[in-house]
Amino acid sequence: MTIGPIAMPVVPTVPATSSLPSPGATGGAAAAGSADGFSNALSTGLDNLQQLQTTADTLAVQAATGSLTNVHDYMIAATKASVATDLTVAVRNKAVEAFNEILRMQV
Amino acid sequence: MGMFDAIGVAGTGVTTYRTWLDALSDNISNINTVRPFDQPAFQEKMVVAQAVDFTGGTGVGSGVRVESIAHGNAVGRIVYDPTNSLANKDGYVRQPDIDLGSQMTQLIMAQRGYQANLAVVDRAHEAYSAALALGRNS
Repeated sequence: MTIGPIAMPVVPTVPATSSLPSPGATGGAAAAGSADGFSNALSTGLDNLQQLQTTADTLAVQAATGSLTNVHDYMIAATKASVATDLTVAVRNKAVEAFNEILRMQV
Repeated sequence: MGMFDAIGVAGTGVTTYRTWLDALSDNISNINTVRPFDQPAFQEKMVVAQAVDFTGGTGVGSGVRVESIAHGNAVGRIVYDPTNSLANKDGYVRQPDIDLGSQMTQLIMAQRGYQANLAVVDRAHEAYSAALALGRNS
């Protein structure tokens, strides 16, 4: 396998955010390039999450003030935000796990 | 959209079926609305649905939307009711040409469609969560 050790646990989550430019993240030749790919993926993912949370928040305020026209719109936005949060947390856990694994390495 | 297509597409379906429910409730609430003879009768509202063909790369469409609201018969049923205050000099008024049986049947269809789309949202959520739980206990 040609993928670098740091990139390996995190790269498979990159295709989930389909709007990514992903500049050769799977190439794995240069460690710096892979790290760039991951940080890009992470920040794009966080932006995405932020946007979904904002949508859900706006709809929640509308629900509270009585100006919400579609009840399901809020529930669907909340569901999307919840799944996106779960995804972000999963990615973070995997990254931390990989980092800890490296820390435990005997040298 | 992008990441949660299934949820978003099912959401468009829920919105469309909700509009259908709204239209049906309008029809049923106006089923006894009487109009004077020289005005059009209350017209049945019919939701025209249209598939949204925009494809986000996968070749799958983006759901459904309400294209327009079609209107039913404006002639209505011409009823002889001379005691009605809206009757013309010959005693005729117009009542809407809406069949309550058909409206109730459509109400069931709209309700079930709404529920089916919400079930899709639920299943998609479950599926995504299952994917996220991959390898959590390893």
